[in-house]
Amino acid sequence: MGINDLYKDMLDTALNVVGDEAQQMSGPLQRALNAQKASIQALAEAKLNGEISESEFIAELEREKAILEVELITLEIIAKATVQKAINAAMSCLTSAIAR
Amino acid sequence: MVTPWLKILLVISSLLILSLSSGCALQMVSSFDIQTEQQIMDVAKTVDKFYAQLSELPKEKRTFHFSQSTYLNIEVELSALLMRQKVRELNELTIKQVEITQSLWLQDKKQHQQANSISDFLIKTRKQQYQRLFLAMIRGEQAKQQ
Repeated sequence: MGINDLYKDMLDTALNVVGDEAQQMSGPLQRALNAQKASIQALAEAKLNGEISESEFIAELEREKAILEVELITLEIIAKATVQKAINAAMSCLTSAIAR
Repeated sequence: MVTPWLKILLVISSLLILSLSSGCALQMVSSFDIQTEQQIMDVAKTVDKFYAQLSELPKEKRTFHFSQSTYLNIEVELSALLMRQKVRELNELTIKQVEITQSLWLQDKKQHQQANSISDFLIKTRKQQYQRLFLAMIRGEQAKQQ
């Protein structure tokens, strides 16, 4: 399986887990995974060219995990903010309908 | 048959009473903070400039001593950013983002100190990685705008 197929599978799997929120989350999630894909490709090339050692490569992969975590936290913030906006809009609609 | 409807009515009434009585909206994440956004942009610029300056130097001049004061300045800027996040309500997610960034920064400082130099590859990689980190934090902050 090539790296492109692997990342497509990762994106599909992540979006299936996210479920109903998938449409809204797919853009930012795709951006995060694409950025990580480019970084990992560069790391793999650097290892092949001897620019970094095996242990440095493993340490860099750990860093990539931490960076992806920060990027995924952004998705969590977006999801929470979206739910907050939706609930507040619904409640505002309800309160103004009753006040009428 | 009547009970489920009663339950729904009770939930709606509670939400309504809560909304009308408190006069405040539901809050799940902290409110947007323009100063936080600016602070993230400022530290992002400093980090970017730091790696750009390092890349201009010949490898033998990229010593830890040369970079020490910049590492310290950025460390202080990240601490200030973290402190501001800690005083904001419902802000655990942004706090976590800043803490991860801070720990990576300290890790990079230690790595530079031990190697007493930094390769072209690492400069390029770090520059891109910090851009991703700060961009993620800015996007997260902007999502809190109403």
